[in-house]
Amino acid sequence: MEPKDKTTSPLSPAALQILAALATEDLHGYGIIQAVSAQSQGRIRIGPGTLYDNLKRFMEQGWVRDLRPVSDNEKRLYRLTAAGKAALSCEISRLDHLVRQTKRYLQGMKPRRAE
Amino acid sequence: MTGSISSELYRQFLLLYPEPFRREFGDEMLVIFEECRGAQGSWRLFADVVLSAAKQQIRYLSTPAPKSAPLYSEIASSPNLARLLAVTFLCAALTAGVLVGEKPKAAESSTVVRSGVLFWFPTPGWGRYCSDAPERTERSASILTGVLVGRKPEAPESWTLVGIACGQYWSDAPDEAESVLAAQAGWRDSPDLTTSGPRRTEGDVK
Repeated sequence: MEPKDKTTSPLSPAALQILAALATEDLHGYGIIQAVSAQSQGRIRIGPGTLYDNLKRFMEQGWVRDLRPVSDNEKRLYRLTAAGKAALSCEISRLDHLVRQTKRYLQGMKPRRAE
Repeated sequence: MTGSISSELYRQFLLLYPEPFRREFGDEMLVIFEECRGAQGSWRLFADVVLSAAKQQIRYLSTPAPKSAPLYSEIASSPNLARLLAVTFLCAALTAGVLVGEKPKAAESSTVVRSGVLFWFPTPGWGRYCSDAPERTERSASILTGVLVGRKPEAPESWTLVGIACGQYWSDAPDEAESVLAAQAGWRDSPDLTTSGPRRTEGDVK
């Protein structure tokens, strides 16, 4: 059986937020958690378990790669790869299409103004 | 919960992860836990790590093992989840048996335990069976572990664990050691107490 193509599957909210956080800059683990909290106005707070679950999966898929620290004082950084950017833009396009379509439906359902 | 305790608890939770995952991310997760603990709360992070570990274990166990190399293959040192659960269950059952099991008091043991069996298990490896060095055997010691099961007057048809005892004895006087150990455990007054187990033979001691 062929493996499922992950790029076409919708991402979980946590996965989408992590990729979005890494789209701006290379970040270490705690930096990703802070960025996710900031970009969701504090509504999404991920723990280390969820974070590294996703990071491991992204690294296996080649969407994210880690930058090993050169000294003990530095933290390991994570960087979005070209494949990760493509997956993220694919997901954003899907969400954008969903938003536009839903808006159109909602506008069509509005009652007409009485003349 | 104080910081050191919750950090230690979190470190123990990390053991639930498959070994490769823990080796790669364990240290980072512990550092991030300490940074996030104030903002998110320890319990929320514990729940997060347990759920994440369960997911990783399922993924790890469902991934087919790579075919071993012809001359060398690495053995995974990750603890087997089924074995961990089995050991946890056995330890819990043993602890419950010791805590719940009724220990006879010295004064009324003859009424609590109508009959009992003392099984004893000398720990090997202390020289008791060193028949090639009898002069050492005579002075060597062993650990005696006793498990007493008995029947209560109100339920004579069923056996129940009433106590566990552990002691040390010199191998040239096992019978005396049994008596001392049984007295320490408060079992001596049981009228029908019988003992079983390996007996000293002529070849064991000089």
